[in-house]
Amino acid sequence: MSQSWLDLVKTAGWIISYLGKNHAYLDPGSGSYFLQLLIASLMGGLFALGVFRKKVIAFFRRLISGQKDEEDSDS
Amino acid sequence: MKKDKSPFILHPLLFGIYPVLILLANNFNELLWTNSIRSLISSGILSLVIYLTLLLFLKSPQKAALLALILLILFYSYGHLYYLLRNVAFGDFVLGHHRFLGPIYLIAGILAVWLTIRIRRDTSRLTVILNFAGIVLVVFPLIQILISIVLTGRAAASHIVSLEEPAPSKLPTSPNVYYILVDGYPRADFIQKYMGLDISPFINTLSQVGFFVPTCSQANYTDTRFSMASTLNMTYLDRSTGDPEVLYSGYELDFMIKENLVQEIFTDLGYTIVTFESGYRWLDWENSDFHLRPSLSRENTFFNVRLNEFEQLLLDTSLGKLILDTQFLLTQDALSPIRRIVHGPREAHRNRVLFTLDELPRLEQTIPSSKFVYAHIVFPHPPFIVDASGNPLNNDPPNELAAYAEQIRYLNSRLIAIVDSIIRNSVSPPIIIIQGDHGATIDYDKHNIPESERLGIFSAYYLPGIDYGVLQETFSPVNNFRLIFDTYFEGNYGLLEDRSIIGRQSPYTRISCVGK
Repeated sequence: MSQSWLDLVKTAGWIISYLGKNHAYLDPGSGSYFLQLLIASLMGGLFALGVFRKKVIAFFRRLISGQKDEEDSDS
Repeated sequence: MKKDKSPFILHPLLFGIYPVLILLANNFNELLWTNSIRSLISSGILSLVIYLTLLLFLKSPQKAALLALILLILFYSYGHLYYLLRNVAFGDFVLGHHRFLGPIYLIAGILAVWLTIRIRRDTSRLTVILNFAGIVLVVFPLIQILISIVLTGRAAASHIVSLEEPAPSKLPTSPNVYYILVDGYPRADFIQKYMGLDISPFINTLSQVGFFVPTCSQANYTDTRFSMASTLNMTYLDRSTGDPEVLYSGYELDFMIKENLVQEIFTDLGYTIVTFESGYRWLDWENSDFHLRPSLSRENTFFNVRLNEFEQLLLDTSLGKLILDTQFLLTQDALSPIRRIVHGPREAHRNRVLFTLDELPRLEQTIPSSKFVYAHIVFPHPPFIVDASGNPLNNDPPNELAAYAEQIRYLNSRLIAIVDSIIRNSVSPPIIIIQGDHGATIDYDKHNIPESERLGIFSAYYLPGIDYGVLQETFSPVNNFRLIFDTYFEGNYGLLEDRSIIGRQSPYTRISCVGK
């Protein structure tokens, strides 16, 4: 990993660690709260791709071939 | 008839308990995990109540669950977003403000209700996806907690710090040693410059009593964890590499504070170890002879009606922040029971601080044997709990610098009385150190103050028989106990070069010093 990427990761880590500190020694962890929500959403998105794969494949097929909408086999 | 293949709905519960789990994971070493039990149960019940209420109106389990999920995310994310945006501004317009976030959340909530009602399609597959995302979400903090447990155990299993020098000797006259750690007490020039408070009368009084108050005192580190691990083990945290960085993990540092070398040496010297409850697990020593705490400090029990610190943090990071900040409900006397419930942690903290300040001057009578007293007082560090006269505060005042100065004024008045009592009641002259572990805990960005200023600390040494002329103005905490053991107990540790760094890693830093 290049130095600039390392710096970027360190800065992001710093922001996530320090933003939102208001309690004596307790950490609200607001950065990690949203980060984990985001990751879970992305994982959910990937899972959705798996669930709707037939629809997704059919959609791209239609897009490439330029065919009109046809009955979806997955519905 | 179509067979019902509706998936089991789990996601509102998972997204509902996640905010509790992430707070627990982030503070696992700070608080007892039992403090989170009520929050965990409450959040589960809240999720269920919201879901069942919506089910009554929407008549569709999938849609009720979807709307419950959105409302729960909105509820639990409000305070977090408020904190993240509180210093983000366009011109004079601050994003992290209730005036901005409140309406946005209200609109988002109304939109969510409207859109959910309008959904006509089957959302069974969406439920499956959300269940999956919820499981992933809950697994993150559980892994964090598991890592904390493993690494804490590993740190405890290894004896981290040991010095090669021979142990100090037990002498016929063993002076009592008081280490009064006033958390976040900045240096006099900082207080004067940024808080507008002149503490020279306090310093002059201490000097007249016989204290040495170095003008340019600097912490070795800007963080409590680093400072205390270093001071209490008489060493820098660089694993002897000489590099300007902390090379111990947080778990190792916690263990270095709890089971430190200074305590070990005093115990070997036959001293009675006296400590006070700080309110934080990682700061409290577990095996002292006397661990003093207020009689009502067991407020964190399951059946106590008041909120504990964890619950207040949960409230503060959720939509509850709006309620906490809009004080119209909490300031009326008729509703003082609500105020007492909500402000339980603040009151418990104030009780701990005042208890320590009350008990310190009594120890000469109550514990007559040779003793090492370590009082780590999380004060004048925020939260702001009293004004300069000691009157209790229920909220953090808007001007944090002024509020900080008020707490310092109050503390100074108490410290004068404490040292006077200790010295007056001691059979032989005691050793007393009053010291901050780092400078002010304030929003440095907001006040345009360089972060390096956090290195400047207040220090005052009462060292009978020592020619203060030999002490450098830059004498730093890492040498506190090296000096004491070498001078009073025939130790042979020697003094280390005074060095300071900012955060975990920075070049060695010396900040300018006004008045020298």
